[in-house]
Amino acid sequence: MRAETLLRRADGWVFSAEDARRLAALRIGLCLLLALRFAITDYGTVAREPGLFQPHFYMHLFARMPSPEVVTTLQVCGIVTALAAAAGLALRISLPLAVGCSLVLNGMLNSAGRVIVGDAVLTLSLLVLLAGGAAACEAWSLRDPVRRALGAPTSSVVSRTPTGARYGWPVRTTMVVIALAYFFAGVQKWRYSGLPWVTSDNLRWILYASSDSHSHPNSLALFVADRPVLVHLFAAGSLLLETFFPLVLFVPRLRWLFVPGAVSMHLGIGLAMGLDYSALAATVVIVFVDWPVVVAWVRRSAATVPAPGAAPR
Amino acid sequence: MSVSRAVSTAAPRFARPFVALFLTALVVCPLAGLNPWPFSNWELFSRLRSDRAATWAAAAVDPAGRERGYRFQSFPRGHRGFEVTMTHFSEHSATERDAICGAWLRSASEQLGPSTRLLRIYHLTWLLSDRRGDRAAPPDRTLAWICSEKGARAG
Repeated sequence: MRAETLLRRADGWVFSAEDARRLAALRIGLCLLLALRFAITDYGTVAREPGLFQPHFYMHLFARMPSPEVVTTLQVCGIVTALAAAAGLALRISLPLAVGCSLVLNGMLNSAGRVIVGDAVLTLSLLVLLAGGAAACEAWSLRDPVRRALGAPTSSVVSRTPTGARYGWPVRTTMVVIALAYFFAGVQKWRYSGLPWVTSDNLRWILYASSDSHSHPNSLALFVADRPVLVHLFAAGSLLLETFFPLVLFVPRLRWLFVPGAVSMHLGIGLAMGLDYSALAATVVIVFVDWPVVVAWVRRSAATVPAPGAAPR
Repeated sequence: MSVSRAVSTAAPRFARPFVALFLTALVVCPLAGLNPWPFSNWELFSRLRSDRAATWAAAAVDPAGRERGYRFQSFPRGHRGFEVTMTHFSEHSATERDAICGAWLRSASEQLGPSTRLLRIYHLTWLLSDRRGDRAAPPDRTLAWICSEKGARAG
């Protein structure tokens, strides 16, 4: 009976109504981030080493590592379609194409000896957005202006900013995806290491090993590793943040603590260890910030700023 | 011309089964230790590290037998492929080992010049706590594999 009540509550939370602009913000943010990942990630290096092809999961569909020419084509196609999807143009075609390009290109990186989790949460979020369908382009979209410019009939909806479960469930599901990702990163540390993950010298050895593996020593990693108290504080902070991240789903005010905390953690890992979790950090910000509220606040602030000609005498 | 139409604001019928399956996969993968990307087991730095460290290193050898350290930095995000591949290298078939070795040797020749004749793969072990300034003390080195044009052979 209690399990049933819990399930009903969870269902009610995931499928509660949300402003269409909230989902549109998710579309714009995630697709722009995807376009940026296509533009800055070097996928060509693994394509030039076909001998290293160790297919992971769905990459078994490929007989060999895709060629550098295929990589370039997928990158260009990915950037164009991700930008079109961000603008809300031909979403039923542009978004699946962008996600498809991402799956192949990331699959190639994951088929060169090691699976990388940095872009996994972004990809999972995009899959949820994809399942949300056309609902994601019913606000903040260039679709109708482009149609008007082309003289085609526009399909404006009755309400300019509709609200409903249709826009809520992809946003809420993406939040759950991120919360579970952090939660299980914490759970695995408890499962395999327990409290010694914090109380032992574990993090010191991680930082020393990381610094030693680079051609130049990392002064930030060594600064922390040389100070045991600082090491234990960072380890405890990381483990607490990961374990209790799901609280942001139930207590929205905690997002002010956990979202900057997660971004800082990834920034620190990047600076100290050179590991790139920027896509994960950016996805957290895109998903958990209430962008319609931010836009309204910026508009209000802009409206209250006096124009140069209207300066007080 | 604008054509007004009413849009249902209810969630589509497939949404509930989709969310149920998607979240189940997210929960099952870490519990079962599965890693079907983009789903993950999230075992990020989850196992305790000890003071003892081990890794693999490669050295390019020219026709005169001179060695030159070779870093697999050309791969995206560092040399991630090399060390992980070496961990399970001996479990590969001889044909697979030859193919991997061939790719590495070609890559080394492109970066260091055509005089690169062999790649020697060493297993390194050291103590992280034994520091010499900003670095760990020099590691113990054991020759594990030799990559040549003929393929891979144990060192």
